[in-house]
Amino acid sequence: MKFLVFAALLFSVMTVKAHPVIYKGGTVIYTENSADMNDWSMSYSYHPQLAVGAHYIKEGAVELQFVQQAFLLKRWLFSDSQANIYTTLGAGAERKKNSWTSAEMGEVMADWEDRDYYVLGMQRWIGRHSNAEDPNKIDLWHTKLRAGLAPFRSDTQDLGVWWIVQFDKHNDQNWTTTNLMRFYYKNVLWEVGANLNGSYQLNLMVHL
Amino acid sequence: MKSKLFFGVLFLTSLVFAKPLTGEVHVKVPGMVCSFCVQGLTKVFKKQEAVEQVHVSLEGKFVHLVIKKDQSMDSDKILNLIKDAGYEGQIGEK
Repeated sequence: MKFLVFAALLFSVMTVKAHPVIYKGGTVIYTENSADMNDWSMSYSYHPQLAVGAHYIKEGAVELQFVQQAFLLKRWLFSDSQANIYTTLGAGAERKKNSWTSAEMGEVMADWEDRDYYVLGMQRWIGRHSNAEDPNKIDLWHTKLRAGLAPFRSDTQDLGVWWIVQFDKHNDQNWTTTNLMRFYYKNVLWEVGANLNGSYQLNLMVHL
Repeated sequence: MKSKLFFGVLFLTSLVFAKPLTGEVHVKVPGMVCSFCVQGLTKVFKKQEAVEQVHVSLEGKFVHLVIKKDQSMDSDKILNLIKDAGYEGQIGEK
């Protein structure tokens, strides 16, 4: 049961994965939700390669809260596509019932996209600390792979649609597969989908 | 003394190459692939007092600016604003 909670928690953390760093002065707000969890995050890009943010995750009785710093390590700009590598470091706390312990997060993400396809790979680690109330905590590892396809190209004033398939692996669990439909209009993006176990996922992201 | 001379030359060079632009300016921006990219560029230029209109094309991969009458923008400033949005620009013909 514990592993299922951890797996669901990790799965909940990573579904919408747009660029962690956007244009200078831009703010990203996103939320990911399913039957088992809520995940909220806000980050501000104060430099074209740097963003600072706050992240809140609730899964059952466990809550994780981080402040985080994201870095755009490298961007390649081709004529019709771009590729990026990001890293994010976070420090914060985990609350379970009334017990608080420290927690850390590290993440590396790489993607490539053009107007028709995109691929993404991500590796995340969350370091947790045991205490007397919960002496057997384990660190959380999450690997995510995503591939997307646009059935048609949309202009900036049109509704954009993508089909996305996502593969997740948490610690020693088996890979899970999720199908999502992504919609976006101007500065708002939302995704709806379900994994092969029928668990729904609903995500929203806004650029300000 | 040498460092003063170096920075003096650098400053004068920047004045020579930072050409003030008026009227309509066309900037190619490779790598723009999504509406969020467009939004970032549009926002960055709409904040500029000298800019009358900004049109960002995802299909054409360019930013087209209309500078207000009796005003100008340095080419360096335009390129730096595009860098602030996360891209590299090339000022040129359509």
